[in-house]
Amino acid sequence: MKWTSVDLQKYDQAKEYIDTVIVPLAPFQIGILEASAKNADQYDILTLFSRELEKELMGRIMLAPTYTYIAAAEKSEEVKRLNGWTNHFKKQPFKQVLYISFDPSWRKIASDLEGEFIWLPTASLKDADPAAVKGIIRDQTMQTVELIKSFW
Amino acid sequence: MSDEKRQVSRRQFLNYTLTGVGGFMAAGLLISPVRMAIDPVLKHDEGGDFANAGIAIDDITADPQRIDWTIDQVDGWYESEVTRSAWVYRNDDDEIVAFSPICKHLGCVVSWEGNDDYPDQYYCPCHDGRYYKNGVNVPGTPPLQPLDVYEQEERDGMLFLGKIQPHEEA
Ligand code: FES
Repeated sequence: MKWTSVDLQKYDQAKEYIDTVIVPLAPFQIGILEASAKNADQYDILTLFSRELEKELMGRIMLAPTYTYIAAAEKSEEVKRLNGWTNHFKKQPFKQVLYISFDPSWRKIASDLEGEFIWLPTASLKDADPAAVKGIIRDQTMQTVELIKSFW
Repeated sequence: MSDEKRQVSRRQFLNYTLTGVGGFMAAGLLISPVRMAIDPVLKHDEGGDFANAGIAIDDITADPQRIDWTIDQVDGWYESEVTRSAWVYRNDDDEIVAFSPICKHLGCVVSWEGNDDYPDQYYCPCHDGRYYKNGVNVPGTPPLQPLDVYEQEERDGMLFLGKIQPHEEA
């Protein structure tokens, strides 16, 4: 399910089945061109990828809006806010809160998060041709689906 | 009644507007390879609602195979590329059947033999929904209806799929 009024209605009817929230985490900045552009590209890919994930598992997951933060922000502060999100979700009640991100800096601090963190290795899509991009996103989606299933 | 109607159409209008604007912005923002990936890769023939599913009739066997193809979807004035998927196989009567992979419970994607414990069945990972090879839901699992089927047609030896319809023999 997505965070849309249509899907929220469906969620409301089937809460006992939809027990997992997925929150994409994306750093952003508007500054040095190269780094900013990289964040922007990854944001797009993460969006595309989360949508694919939602399509595969829509009957059991709720895709939350992407959590964005300034790339250089102090992670421990972000962890506090994210844990606030997690508490909010768990009241629903959702059983599992899963964060997905390309940003490796979460890995060091993942144990402070009250949800599970799934790190996605960055797929370099820049020079790939369109068919390959589709394939890469599909592969990564299916791998992540397997990982999510292991939490169920 | 009429109140209800008006409300729906107003909501629909809002929907179209939002989809149109959102879709347009997203299209502009996507980096080129990604954008190209969701643009038509294979142009298919126009012709009713049927689209070339990209598989030759002769390649369809008794083992269900997953196929993916893209169609142009027009929603109001907003047109987009949508990926469709199906599981196709040849049944015991030598007829070709194409199932929609969308679970009839809450919409997850099912896979043929998706669980080692249930060979010869479609499996839904979300709540262990299952379907027999003929698409009928296994009683006692969450789905209450059989998998939907695509309308189909053969053109020049290729499989063309159209609208999704409820499974008949249920
Ligand atoms: S969505 Fe398939 S069993 Fe629930």
